[in-house]
Amino acid sequence: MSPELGFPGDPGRLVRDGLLLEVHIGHTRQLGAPVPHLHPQQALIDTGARDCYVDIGLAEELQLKKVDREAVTGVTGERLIVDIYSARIRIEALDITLLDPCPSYPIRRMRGPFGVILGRSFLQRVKLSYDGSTGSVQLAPPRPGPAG
Amino acid sequence: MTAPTTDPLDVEIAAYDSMRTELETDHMGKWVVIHGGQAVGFFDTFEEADRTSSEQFREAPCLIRKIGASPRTLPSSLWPQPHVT
Repeated sequence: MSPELGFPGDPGRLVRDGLLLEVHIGHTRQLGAPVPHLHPQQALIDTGARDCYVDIGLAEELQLKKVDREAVTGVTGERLIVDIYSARIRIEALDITLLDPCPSYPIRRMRGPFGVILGRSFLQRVKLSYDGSTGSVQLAPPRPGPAG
Repeated sequence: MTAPTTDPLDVEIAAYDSMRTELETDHMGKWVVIHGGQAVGFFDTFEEADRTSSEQFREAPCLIRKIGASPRTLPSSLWPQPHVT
C-alpha cells in the first residue's frame, strides 16, 4: 500500500497546509478488549519533530493514559511542563500501528484542524517521497527484505 | 478557591529522581516502570513497558520513562504563528 497524500496539482496548498494524514488514535489499556476503539483524527506529518504529539483536549477526551510529565524547551528557550500520554495511533492506509509516548500540547487551539503530530518516531517506519514541485507526496511501508 | 491538587504521578516522578544516579548507572537506555515509588521493571521498548504497566496495575498511576533520554524540544510546527491581517 502506498497512499497518495499531499495536494497533487496544487503545490501551493502543500506549502500552506502541510502534509496531513488520517489516523485513528486511542488508549493502550488491556482491559479485555483485544482492539481498543480508535477515533479518527487528522495528523500533521512533521519531519522537524522528533516525537509524536497529541492535543491536550483530545488526550483527555479519549482518556489516554498519562505516563510521565517532562520539561520541553519552547520557542524562546523557556521550559514548558507537559504531560506525556501513552497513545495507540493506527495508520490504516499503511497497516501500521504505533504505540508511543506522546507529549501533549494545545495543538488544535494553536494550529488546528489536526490533533496529532507525527514526528520522526513515526517516519522511521516508512518511506516518504515528497515532490514539492507538483504537490504530490507518497508514503509507503519499508520494502520487505529478500525472502529466504 | 480550590485547594491545589496533587498529581498521582508526582510520587513516581519523585521516586525516579531519587533513584536517578543508580538507574543511569545500571540501566541506561532502558524503559523503566515505576509504581508505588518502586522500579518494577526494565524494558527494551516503550511498548513492553506500557503493556506490563497496564497488565499489572490497570488504571493505577505508573511512570514510564526512558532512562537518560535527552530532553525534548517543541517542534517549530507548534510555535505560535504570526498574526496575519
